[in-house]
Amino acid sequence: MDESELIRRSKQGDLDSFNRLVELYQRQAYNLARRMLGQVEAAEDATQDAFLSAWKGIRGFRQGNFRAWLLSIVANACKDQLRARRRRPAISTDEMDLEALPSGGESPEDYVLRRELAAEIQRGLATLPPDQRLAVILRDLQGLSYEEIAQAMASSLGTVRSRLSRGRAHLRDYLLRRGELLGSQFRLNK
Amino acid sequence: MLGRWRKGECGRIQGMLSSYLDKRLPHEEQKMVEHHVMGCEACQKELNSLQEVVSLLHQVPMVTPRRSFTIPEARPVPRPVTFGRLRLATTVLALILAVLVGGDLFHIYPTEPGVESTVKEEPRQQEMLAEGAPQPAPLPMGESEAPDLRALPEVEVTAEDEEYRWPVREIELAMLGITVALGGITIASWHRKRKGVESDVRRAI
Repeated sequence: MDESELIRRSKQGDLDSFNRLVELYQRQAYNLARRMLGQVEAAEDATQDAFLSAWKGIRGFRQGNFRAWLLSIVANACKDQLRARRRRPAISTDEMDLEALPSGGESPEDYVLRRELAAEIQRGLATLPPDQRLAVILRDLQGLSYEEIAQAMASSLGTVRSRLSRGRAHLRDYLLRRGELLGSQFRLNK
Repeated sequence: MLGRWRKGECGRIQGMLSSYLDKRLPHEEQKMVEHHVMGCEACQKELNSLQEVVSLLHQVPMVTPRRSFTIPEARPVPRPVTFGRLRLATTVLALILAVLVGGDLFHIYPTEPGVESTVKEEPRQQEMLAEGAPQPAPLPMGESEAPDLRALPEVEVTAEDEEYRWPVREIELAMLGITVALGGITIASWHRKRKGVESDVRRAI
């Protein structure tokens, strides 16, 4: 059964069809939340909230890109979490990527480096304003097109370009500073 | 002068590098950036560093969630008895109130007993006059011929004469108050029930 058929059935209240869509997109949705929030539990909560909201609001989905629509709901759930975190600032935002297990053929050194890199990038992302962070994650980690990002962020293509440009530049500056401090593999050629 | 112009030009180009990397600039601008970068070391470095960041970001692995986010079938939640009773009571009261107010609007109930009793007393006085009650002496010429009602004997209003009238307005107001209060409780109970269903779904997840 293709995606449009699953969407059509979900709109008619078929939870099984909707859960098939959840299975298709849950990894991407969770990764977006994980990179936006930096915490496993907060990301799980945001992802679950987003899928519940999507199930409640699936009738409101018109023709268009379902992935972008779904990711926009995840992004909103993340913003809610970030707002809640601002009210309760005691929560840590720095967790290692324990889920990123070694892939086939990867040496232990490479695995450690990759984990360090992911953690450093996560810390760098956390320093970006949420809108720039979202644009960078959607484009460079999730591979969405500019049009999909514009739909997910409910903004124009020009805004997407500008947020992406500033976000990448901020992240580059952060990694340069960290590279200079660490003297490690993160040093960029500037 | 030329240096300042060059700096401004580099700033403009560097603002376009991110889109240039993604090949999202119009053809002419894409060519212009390409041409500028070839002859400008600073912009070349800027482009390289951005390219490295994008390349690093592409290396970040996707993480696998620890659990599934599928939504479980919501179990049918038994409707609380109190909610049903409250709703029934509110509906019945609202209907009675509607009937009362409707009747009141069409003047089915005598709601101003004072006015009606005055009207009703007049025939009684005439009746007493006809039965031979002492007449007041005829007035001398020039004086008002209006009958002096003070001279009439006091009419005793007995319990049989006084027709009991329901205090419709008071009843309406009381019932309105009760209906509003019950309605409020019913709505609050409905909200609590709905939230309960949602939290049941969350707990099931």
